[in-house]
Amino acid sequence: MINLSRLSLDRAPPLWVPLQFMAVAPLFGVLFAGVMILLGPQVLVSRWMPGMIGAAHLLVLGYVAMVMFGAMQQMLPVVAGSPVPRGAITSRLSFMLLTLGTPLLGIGLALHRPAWIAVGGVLVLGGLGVFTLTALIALARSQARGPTTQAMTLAVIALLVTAALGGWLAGGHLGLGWPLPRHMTDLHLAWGLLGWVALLVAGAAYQVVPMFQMTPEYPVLPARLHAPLVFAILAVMTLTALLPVPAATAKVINMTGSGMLAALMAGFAGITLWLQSRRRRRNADVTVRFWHIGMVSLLAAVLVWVVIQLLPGRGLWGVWALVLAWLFVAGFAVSVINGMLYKIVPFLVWLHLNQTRMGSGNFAMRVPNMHEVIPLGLTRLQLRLHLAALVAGLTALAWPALLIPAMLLFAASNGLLSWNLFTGIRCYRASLNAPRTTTG
Amino acid sequence: METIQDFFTTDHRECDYRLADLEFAIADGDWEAADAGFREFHHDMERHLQREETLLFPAIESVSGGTMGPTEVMRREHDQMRALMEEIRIAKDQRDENTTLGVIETLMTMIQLHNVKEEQILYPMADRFLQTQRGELMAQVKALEP
Repeated sequence: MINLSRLSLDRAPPLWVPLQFMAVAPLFGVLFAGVMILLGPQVLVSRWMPGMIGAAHLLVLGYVAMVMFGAMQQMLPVVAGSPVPRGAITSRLSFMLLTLGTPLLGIGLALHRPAWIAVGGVLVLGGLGVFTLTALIALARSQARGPTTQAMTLAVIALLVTAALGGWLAGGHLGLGWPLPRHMTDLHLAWGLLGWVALLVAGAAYQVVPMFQMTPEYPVLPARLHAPLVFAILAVMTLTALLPVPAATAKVINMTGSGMLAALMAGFAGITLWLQSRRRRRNADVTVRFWHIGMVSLLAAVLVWVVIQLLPGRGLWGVWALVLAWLFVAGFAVSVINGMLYKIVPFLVWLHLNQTRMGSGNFAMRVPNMHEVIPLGLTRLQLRLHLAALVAGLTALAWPALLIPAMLLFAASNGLLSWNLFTGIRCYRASLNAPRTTTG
Repeated sequence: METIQDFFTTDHRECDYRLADLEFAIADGDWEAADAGFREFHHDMERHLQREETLLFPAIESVSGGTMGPTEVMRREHDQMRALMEEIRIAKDQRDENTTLGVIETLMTMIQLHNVKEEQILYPMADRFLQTQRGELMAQVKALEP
């Protein structure tokens, strides 16, 4: 006899578990834009401006990590056959800690408020800790061993490293007894963006790109090797920074490592665009377009990175570093996430309404199809706003006076995204509460 | 020998492509192509579902002891897919483009998430545990016509 007791193919979490993260995340996008407007164009001078560091945390923790936490609660039972343990309690806990901690940490960093940084930092570390622990338990229990679960596992470990480095940096910043390890900042960024964000997107892409766009599968070898290579390179570069490696050797390792990372990122984006060009589903919905924008932005980010290497003085300074960051975070991560939300939320609303109908036996209850959950016209408008905000943001880095219109566009895009997601939630409630017709 | 995983995964992709072609015909406003496309999709889909329900799932249940568990969940999802196929047929017959496309999107998403569970978890497991009887089972599977 085979023991199937651990195999649960229908343990999808309750609707509110992923939705709490997803509905709140775009509001952090609005908050980010608001803080940037208050800080004004002078914040665009350099990546080391406290305001920039604070605002960046609002976006990557409040928006990017927030949605990814919610999406993983939903994806793990499907792709790994293994739900997050005690999902109802642990997801609420990580959600609360992240929602409370992120604004404190972000605004504390921006305004030099040590107490806010300390409290916010502890809350955020707690939220990340609860999430990474429960996700790793779920992944360890999984019987699936494909490239998706592999990339997800490495992404979650990368998040743990990012959080540890972040805690180390924050502690130095607060004067907790050790000097500020400023040389760790690039590694903190690399683990967070290339390790956690890019690997999780890749892991999800191996599933969702062929699945929803009906493209050929990702080629086996690149899909198998991408995440382990990225992870190993990051690990080698980190050890080089921690151990007494001669400066000349360290320089060679760092140059080779970052070159390989750039090539891996470009390779992933290139393969994804190539697969999408061969998709069987010819109708391009907003999700496909968001993915396109995301992949083109990732390629552009790699190109900018190459330009930075060719600049005199070499190093991530000045405005080019911000161009790179904007392309990667707003162009790549936010676009892909935004596109996925328009698949995930309408489907979950349909799924839960349909389960209610089946469970209650009230077969006359009307369940809206996915296109009825969020009006398509509003999703297309939001896509255009997002694209406009992206371009305006890049323009503002060349002409800082344009910062305010760019951030107003970004706020409008995220405000509309939030409105659209709440429209989905209202649709769910309305369908549940619709007068019940008796079945014959 | 062809594995359960390979055969059923290919069968999934063929059903997917039929549905994608149906979607394109409707978005294109070509209702005659949509009628033909729906017939083909419905036939292939029903054949796939029956291959699992009448042959593969009972074989899995015979070694796992019982109809509860993963196969039960898969059967329930099959019924939900059949209900959506019926909704597509009705909307298509009424030449209602928006509703047809909306229900196709819903069915497509539902099928894809269902397929992931089968392809990642159920089929590899079936290949492991049904090795001795696989040849005979696959011959029956291929011969089945709804």
